[in-house]
Amino acid sequence: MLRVKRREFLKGASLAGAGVLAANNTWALNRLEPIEDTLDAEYPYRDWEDLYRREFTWDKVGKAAHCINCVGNCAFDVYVKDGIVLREEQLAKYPQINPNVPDANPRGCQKGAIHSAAMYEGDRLRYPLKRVGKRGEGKWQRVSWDEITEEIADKVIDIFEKHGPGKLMTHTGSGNLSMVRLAAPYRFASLVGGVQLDIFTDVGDLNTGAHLAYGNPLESFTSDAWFDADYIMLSLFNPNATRIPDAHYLWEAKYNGARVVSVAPDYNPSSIHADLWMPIKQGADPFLAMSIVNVIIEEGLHKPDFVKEQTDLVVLVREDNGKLLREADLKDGGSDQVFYHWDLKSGTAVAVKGSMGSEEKTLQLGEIDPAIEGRFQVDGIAVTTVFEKVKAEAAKFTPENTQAETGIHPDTVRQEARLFAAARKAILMTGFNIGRYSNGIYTGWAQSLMLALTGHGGKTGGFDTSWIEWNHGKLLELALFGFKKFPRLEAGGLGEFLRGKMIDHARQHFDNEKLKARVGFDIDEMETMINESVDKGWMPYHGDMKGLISIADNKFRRNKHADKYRERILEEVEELFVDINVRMDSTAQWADYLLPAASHYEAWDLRSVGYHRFVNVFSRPVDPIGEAKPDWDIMELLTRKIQERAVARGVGAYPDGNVSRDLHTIHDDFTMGGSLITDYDATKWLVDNGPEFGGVTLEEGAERGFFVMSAEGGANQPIPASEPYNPFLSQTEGKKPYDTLTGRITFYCDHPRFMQLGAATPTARHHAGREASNYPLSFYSPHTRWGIHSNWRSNKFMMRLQRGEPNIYISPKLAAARGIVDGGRVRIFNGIGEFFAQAKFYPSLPETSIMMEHGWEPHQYEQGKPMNNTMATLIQPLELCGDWGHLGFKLWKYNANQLAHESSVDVEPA
Amino acid sequence: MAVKRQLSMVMDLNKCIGCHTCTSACKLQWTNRNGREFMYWNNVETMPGTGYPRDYAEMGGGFDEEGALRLGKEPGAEDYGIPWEYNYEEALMTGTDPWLRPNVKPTWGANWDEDQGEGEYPNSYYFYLPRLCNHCENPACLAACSRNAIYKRQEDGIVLIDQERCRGYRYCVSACPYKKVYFNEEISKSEKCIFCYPRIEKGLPTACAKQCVGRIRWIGYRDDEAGPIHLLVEKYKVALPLHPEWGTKPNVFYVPPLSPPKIGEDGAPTAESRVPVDYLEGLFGDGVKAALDTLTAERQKKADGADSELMDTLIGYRHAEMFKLS
Repeated sequence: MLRVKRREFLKGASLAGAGVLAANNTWALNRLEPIEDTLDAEYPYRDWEDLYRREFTWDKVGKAAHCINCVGNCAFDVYVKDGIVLREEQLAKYPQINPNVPDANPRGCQKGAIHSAAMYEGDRLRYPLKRVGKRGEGKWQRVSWDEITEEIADKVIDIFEKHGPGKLMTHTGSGNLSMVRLAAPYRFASLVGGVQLDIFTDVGDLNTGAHLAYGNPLESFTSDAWFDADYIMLSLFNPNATRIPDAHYLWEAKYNGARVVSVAPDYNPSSIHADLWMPIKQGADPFLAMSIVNVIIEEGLHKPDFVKEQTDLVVLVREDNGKLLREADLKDGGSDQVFYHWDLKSGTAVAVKGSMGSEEKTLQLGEIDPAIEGRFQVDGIAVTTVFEKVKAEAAKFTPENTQAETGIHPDTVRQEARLFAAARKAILMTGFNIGRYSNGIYTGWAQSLMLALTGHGGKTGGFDTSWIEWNHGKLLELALFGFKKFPRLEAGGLGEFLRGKMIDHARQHFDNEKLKARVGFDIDEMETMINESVDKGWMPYHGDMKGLISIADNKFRRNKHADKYRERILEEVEELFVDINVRMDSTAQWADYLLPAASHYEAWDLRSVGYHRFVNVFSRPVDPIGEAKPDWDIMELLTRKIQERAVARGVGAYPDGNVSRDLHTIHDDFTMGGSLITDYDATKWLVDNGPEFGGVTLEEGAERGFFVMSAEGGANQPIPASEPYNPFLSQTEGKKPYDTLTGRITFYCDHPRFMQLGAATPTARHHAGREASNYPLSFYSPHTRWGIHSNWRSNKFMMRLQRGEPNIYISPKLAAARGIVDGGRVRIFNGIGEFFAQAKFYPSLPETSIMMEHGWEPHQYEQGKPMNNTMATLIQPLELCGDWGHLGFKLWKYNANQLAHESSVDVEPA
Repeated sequence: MAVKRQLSMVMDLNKCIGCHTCTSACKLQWTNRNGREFMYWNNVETMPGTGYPRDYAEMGGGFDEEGALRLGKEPGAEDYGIPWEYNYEEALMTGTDPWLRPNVKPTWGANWDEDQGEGEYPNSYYFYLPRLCNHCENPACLAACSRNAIYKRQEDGIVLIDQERCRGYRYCVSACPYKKVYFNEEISKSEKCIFCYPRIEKGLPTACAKQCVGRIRWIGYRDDEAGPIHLLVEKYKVALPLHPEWGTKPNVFYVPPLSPPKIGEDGAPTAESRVPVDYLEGLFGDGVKAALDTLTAERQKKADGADSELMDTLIGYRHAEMFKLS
């Protein structure tokens, strides 16, 4: 009633501003509290304001970051009241390292900012649990730590007794990327010789093309080094969604005068701030890169000095067999790792300095002036330069020729090629999606060529691969048991592909002939090449396992053709499946034993990350919830039990190659003779012994929230005290050779498989996509802003800002054609699987694609059927090459990725 | 200026990355409890879009051209989105539910049309617009309150609802054209963004601004001629209020977004920007074109190696200096 009256009153009154207020006073209900003007005068009753002030109180503040597989790593203040974390807030106190470069504050993202809510959510593991029903049935019994670790210890010993070493997978996933959390299970794996997959490639994160070119895909820029660039190209990269703490440097660089170009199949959240969006057809990135190379070479935009000194483009190639000219070709007993360039001054072939076989470890040319172009005779052998080979290949990819593949207008290609070449500092940034395409290696290699030709290296730009591997020698020493014993390292994407028998799904899904036309090999050839790589020892694969201890890994979420993969793994590890986890993720659900791990705010730890120079400190602001324990303490307890049981059972030393797996002393070994018992002990050991901490104590670091790494933190070169970190300065300025076969940035690979696949120089290939199978729509699966893989993906605060359930993105035009409405339920399917999701309209996507961000937990989908059920995948055989200089299995640097964008689907209303 | 001093915020939409860290910061600071769960005192909208609550801009409120107060529509629970809960326990711990799902079928939420925008591929367009209470110079909520329970603090111009005096009549909810006042059913009082005064009083910026990782937010007093607000709003006139025609005189301002060129029929970029200027003028008024021109010209100065006070301010070299709280 009152309301109606009030409305009528107001409608009737044509009173303005203070006039209304005057009327209000005469009309006020409570005449005991006469209040005049609340707009212009002091309000008399302000005591109530304490109400909200009381909500901004706490008992103590601790320090932490978030240690999952995120390249953010942001220091937070953690506010604790009554032993519970109330909220967190970015510390925002990183020092500005140079007055001309914006500081790194406040770093963070929405996931970190709600972690205190996530850590108390209903999916948190609080107690050790033992399965009492069938695997995956969800029936659990709470048991004591003592009992559960003793049972596990006996089963570990049983596996050693029955099968010997090498049958236990002790894989730590990408969920543990802080130092102590990472070191604990890796140290355990080193001691038992457990299988550990490469965590870059098991999710498909590796930029193998960058390794091929530079011999190191993990030498990149700190994000503050973007600021002084004048040209930035984003390729397969959506930093506004996936590099949230660092993205500001891009838009600040733009205000600083940089041109920012976004190359993406959708008008994505980063494209919206760019100077230009190039709407490339999905997967056509190597064609665009090669067409830019074409323009650079045709228009003579390359920089001869850089090309001569830093690249293999001047190295000589035999015209007869297409092989690099080697010392072994010219001298009996000559090295096959010494190469030649043609010296224009002396008119002779001169050995290249700095190659793997060269005694002189420098790029310095001295008096030599190597020819970039030309044809020469060396001891009767006709030779030419790598540049000539590259030029001939690039000639095929004129902007006019590639337009049909890329969808990019030739004028645009030429314009950007010229601006890119002319830039003072050009950075080409790729995200981790590059590794999820079968042609990602082609993209990365051709992009490296764009950069090298135009002299963008070191302070003048280069390849941003999203990751710098810092120099943490003591961390490696701790994780790898002083380098005395090692885990069984395994190629990530390959291991999952073989163990999950994913080739069966590939055979079902792809049309072999179409596939070969698209990617350059068919499934039978791929299988032959996989077998060759394993047989020749180029790539390690350790075969069937008997037991699995899975730490911070969500393998049943990330692996393709997910349900079948899970069935096969569960069959294999029938004897033991332990999951160590903070929450009940889609992998933990299937375990025999669940060991609850401490969350980010519940353990001591340290973390560095490639985008900045700060090591954040986790100061254990609160104790672990329930009976959860820090990962270090879990491994301490588990090794204690294994040692006790091994001694009691009178077993222990199992010979394993050159080492012995000493289960009867494993606790002594794990704890360094009893000195590293807790998470705090291990944290302190790292700080006390690591030179990169600059002599600052853990107490000081915990008080401040972070360490600033000293010069020693740089692996390729020292971290400069007051300049951003630009990659490969040791090479561009210090003239140190690259870690490549020729010692130079590499654009020629005469490995037999590269030659066989027509990939001796950078070139363009398609990914498989919808053209290689029988379904009409590409499936485009980028990373999401709403999670880090599956972390925080099912958090309710994050879900309330999305659609509440898994959703696909669909062009409204395609939706209309299929009778699909926004918010409606759809079925996505192909011959190998199906799943259901909500449709969300996204006009920025072409009609030929369905987009769905990855990372949803299988248990979030209707009937638990995840999107990965529709994903058939392949292995790129080039990524399996070995025995060729810098090509071969290298953890986190070179081995085959698990791919995500090769198959195709259809959609219908459901 | 009605008050002695007025705090103000500028947000640069060219730097907003749509990450919702501000929203999340505010959520845990103020609205994850006590009947406030459905509220977002700060939220981020994809524009063009429906906004939050749904279609709020069509609900009326504010003042008419003569300055008379207009009461608008009060949003319903569905317009805000139901803060659904999940069956974590049943789906994951006891095996009694087959999968994890919300307890109500989601049909709307605070960010439902994220990244949607307008237009057709390849010429679609969108940008992000974070919103909080504008702490207006002429607040419609204050004018509409029959209890005189809404006031402006004289020392900083923050608009507050006296939580002891409020009786939950909700005229403020319908009068605010930005729909930034919320009715808390649990306590039968209206609540809204308080510009984090408990933080401001301790010398800290608001949670949304301090935690903004895009570094898009500046806070300062309107009368501080050496401060960032004066520079962006008065001196360079690149920061504009949202819907000035609604008559409330907001103290939150936005730097309007530039956008990449449209793609022509032939596949080559055209000279036309994606976000139509008249659309932006519909949001931010007549100053849009001049603001965009100024941004473009000042940016060119930096590209040419010259100095630009405006660009240096928008770059924000030192995060702590983006906030001038005294």
